[in-house]
Amino acid sequence: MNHRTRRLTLASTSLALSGLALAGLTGLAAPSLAAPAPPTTSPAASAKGAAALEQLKADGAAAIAARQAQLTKLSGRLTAAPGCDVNGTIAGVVAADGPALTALGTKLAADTTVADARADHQAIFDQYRVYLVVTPQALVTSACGHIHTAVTTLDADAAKLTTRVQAAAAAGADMTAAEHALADLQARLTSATTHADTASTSIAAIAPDRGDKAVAATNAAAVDAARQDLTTAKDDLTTAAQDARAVVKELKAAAGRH
Amino acid sequence: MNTNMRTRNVALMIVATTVLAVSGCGARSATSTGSAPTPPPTSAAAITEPATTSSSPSTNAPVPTPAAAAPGLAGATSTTTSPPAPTGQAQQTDDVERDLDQVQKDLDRAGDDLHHSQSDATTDPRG
Repeated sequence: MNHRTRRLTLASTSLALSGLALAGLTGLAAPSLAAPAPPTTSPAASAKGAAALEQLKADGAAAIAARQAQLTKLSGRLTAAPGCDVNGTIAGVVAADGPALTALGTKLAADTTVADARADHQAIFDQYRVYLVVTPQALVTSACGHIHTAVTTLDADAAKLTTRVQAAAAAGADMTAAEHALADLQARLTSATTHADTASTSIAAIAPDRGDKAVAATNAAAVDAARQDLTTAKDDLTTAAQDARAVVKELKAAAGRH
Repeated sequence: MNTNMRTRNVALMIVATTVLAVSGCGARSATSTGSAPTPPPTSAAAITEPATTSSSPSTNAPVPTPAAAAPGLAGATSTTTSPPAPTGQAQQTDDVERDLDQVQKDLDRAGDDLHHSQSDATTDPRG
């Protein structure tokens, strides 16, 4: 009787230990032997989770590929007009994001839970903001570079034209209109440079919001302001070029009168 | 008769001297030591400098003759109001016009980048 009771007790203890060992291996909470818990996911739910996991991986891979293509395009734009990226800040962001996204894609592809995959998938957008932050950063900086190139050219032209206008005026020609156009040209060049530099500096300072809505709103406002500055700079240079053409016309007219 | 002829010769000499003085030959001959006349200036600067610094056109200051003028200034009646050589000015203005075309291309590229910075940013609303 005693032996029988002891064997039963040992058997119960052995079963309990086996249950604990199993729980430890699978990472699940120790089940109660008295009332085993029902499975946390049904086969149908498990299949749904697996599908969601695969969907996140596929969507993430596509999003990463599109962003890497965009980064390649942005790199080309910056290389063509690097004038405003003096310290290579924006080019550095563009160059770093590609490999970082590749690493994130590898991590996402290896995820085994929907929760991990969902976090990595969301990081593709929040952590990098290739379209909302990096794209306007690179393109505004590139546009600023083109404006700097135009300013340099017009500045040299203004110097040439000033010499010619002064010579023509010294020779007795009425160059009043040309002198006014030259003064406006110089003022436009100064204004364009100031606006382009302001745009470039302010947009270089923004960073991905990482899910912070307040930062996202600040970024959007900074991008709008930078675009407005560049539009003003571009308009200034369009007027400056018209001024230069007017001076050329005046010089030719003066030459024709003599 | 002899007196009349002498008077006429003196008058002709005065007229000839005046003509020489006005044409510039007189001024040079005043300091000449009898050697050959100095060659005419060949550069535009050499021509224009005395003329532009001259304050009185009625003095006996030397006036360049058309033959002595530089090719670029041929036909100019006065160097005091002559503009710089047309060929140089035309070249410079042509350079500027070519530059302005390049400037327009730069501005077009800047506008293109600005346009893309707006359109590309909305490619994926998730950012």
